[in-house]
Amino acid sequence: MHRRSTAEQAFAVANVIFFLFFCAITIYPFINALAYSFSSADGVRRNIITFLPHGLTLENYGVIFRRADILHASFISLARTVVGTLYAIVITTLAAYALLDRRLPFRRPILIYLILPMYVYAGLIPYFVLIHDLKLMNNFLVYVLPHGFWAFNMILIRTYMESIPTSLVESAKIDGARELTIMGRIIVPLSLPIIAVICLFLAVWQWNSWFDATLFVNKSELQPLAILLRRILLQEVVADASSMMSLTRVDAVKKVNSESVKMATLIVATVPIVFAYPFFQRYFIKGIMIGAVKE
Amino acid sequence: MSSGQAASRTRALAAPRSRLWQRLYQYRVNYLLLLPAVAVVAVFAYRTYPWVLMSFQDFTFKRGLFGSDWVGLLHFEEMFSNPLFHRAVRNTLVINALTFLVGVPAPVVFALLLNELRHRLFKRVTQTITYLPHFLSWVITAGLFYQLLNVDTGLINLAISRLGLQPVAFFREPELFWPIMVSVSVWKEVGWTSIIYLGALSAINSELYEAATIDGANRWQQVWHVTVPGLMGTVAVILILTAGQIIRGGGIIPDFEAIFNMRNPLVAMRSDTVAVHTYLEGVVHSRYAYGTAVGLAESVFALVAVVSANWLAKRFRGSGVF
Repeated sequence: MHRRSTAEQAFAVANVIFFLFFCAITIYPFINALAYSFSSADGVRRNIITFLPHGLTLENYGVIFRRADILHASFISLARTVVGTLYAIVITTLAAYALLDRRLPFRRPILIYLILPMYVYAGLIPYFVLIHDLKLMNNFLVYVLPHGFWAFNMILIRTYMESIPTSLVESAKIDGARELTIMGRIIVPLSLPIIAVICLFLAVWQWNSWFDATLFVNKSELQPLAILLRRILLQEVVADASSMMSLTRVDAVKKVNSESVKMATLIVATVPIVFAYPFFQRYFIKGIMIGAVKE
Repeated sequence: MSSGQAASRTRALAAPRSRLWQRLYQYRVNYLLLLPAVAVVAVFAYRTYPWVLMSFQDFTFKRGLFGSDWVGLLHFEEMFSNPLFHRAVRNTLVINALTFLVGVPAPVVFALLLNELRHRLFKRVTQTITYLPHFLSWVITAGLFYQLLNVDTGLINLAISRLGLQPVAFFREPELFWPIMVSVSVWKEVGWTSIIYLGALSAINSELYEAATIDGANRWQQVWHVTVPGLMGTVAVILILTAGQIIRGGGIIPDFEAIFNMRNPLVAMRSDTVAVHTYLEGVVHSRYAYGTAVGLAESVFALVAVVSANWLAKRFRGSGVF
């Protein structure tokens, strides 16, 4: 190894400082939100909350978990995440496997049929009217049924499956394995890394979704957490901004501060994502690179 | 191998007419497995297409697509004379072009710098932290930044007042919306987008570095003469693909969800893009036909952008993305 010059060492130090800074600006908003969520109303009124909570309390989380609507909305979010992810991953994986064999008659027209909607989008309003027409308004199924198939995910899975040695499949065929056995016993188990990554994408997408609920659901018992979060976080901020007054000043001597409750709600909605995703991280580069390096 | 040959020999012997049916039957399981995907796409994608005709109608839900009167290009004429639409087009183009200019090079630089980190644990932790924002919804992202940039209690304004300057009401100033939107979009996606470059970096032949070292190249010269040329292919493809997203957003370019969560009525003159205009007019004000017309215009431009980008990508590396 060659010796590092002074300039190179200086660069290495500057580089580390850059990334420390970048990580700090990424983490700070969360630390700040956490600090708020554990601060008492009095603490927020008397201090400016930055890194540490003032007047340590669990009351903000108490407020959230006592609110029946937030608990119920979390349940709806969980339900749409689990059902929606399973529904989509099954449909997508089956399609990816079915299109694996290049000798499949009409493979190309089927692919074009499946991929075309990625390019040709009728727009928001036609989709809105269609959902009305299908009587899916105010129906839990509107969170699940439309989102069964994304061509892009199918391509990622199929490309990964193509990297599995064909000799495995051939020898299974000689041993008399049927199509479904090959899929269930060989191809799908060997493709689990990419399937895991796609499941994570689907689950995060479902958990974070709010727009379909805005458009199609006005029954409060069907609304997901993201909708409540949006209402609590942003609509109050807008009202706040227009009235040119900050909540910290508006709040009288209350037990909880609305800013703290907002931040506690944000933390509750973020925690599942923050904890789920590091488990999948080791698959990212592998899964995404293989998917990206196309035929 | 032997079974495949035997099968093709049997197929060759069969009469041509029954051969197709035989092959279709042979692959019956595959067609069965494709059925759910074909059905979902048929119902939720292809069935939306006929509704595009609404944009040429005086559409109401009551009378439906078949009962509504035809009005020709009325909605398109209104669109082109509507100052709100002009504003929306300007905002879309400016925000997306600015994000494109910053957002394409940023992940390349990010990956190059990340690649120079020697401490493995520090590198891993940095990656974990910088990928995280990609997984946050725009609702959460906007909530965090409204707090961070708060006039009274946000860290940025605390620093500004510490310096003795006037605090800035970031989300009340229309002029500040473009820079905020571009910075937040890039911040959110730069780490995640850099993954593809990290993959390309690890694919560069290590012998090239050894050869460069023997030739007496220092670290900087190695980066400039080996690493950067090794990345150019990937950069070109990502550049072209991002250009394809310049109308509708996606990837590092802000889409409807991004803008809609970051905006508020006070900054509408700089924040409301074509997608926001479509939603506000079409859904909130229930002007379905007009909303469809605007959406159709947007979709046509988006299609042109994506198809030409993909065509360029195909020419560039011999294969498109799809």
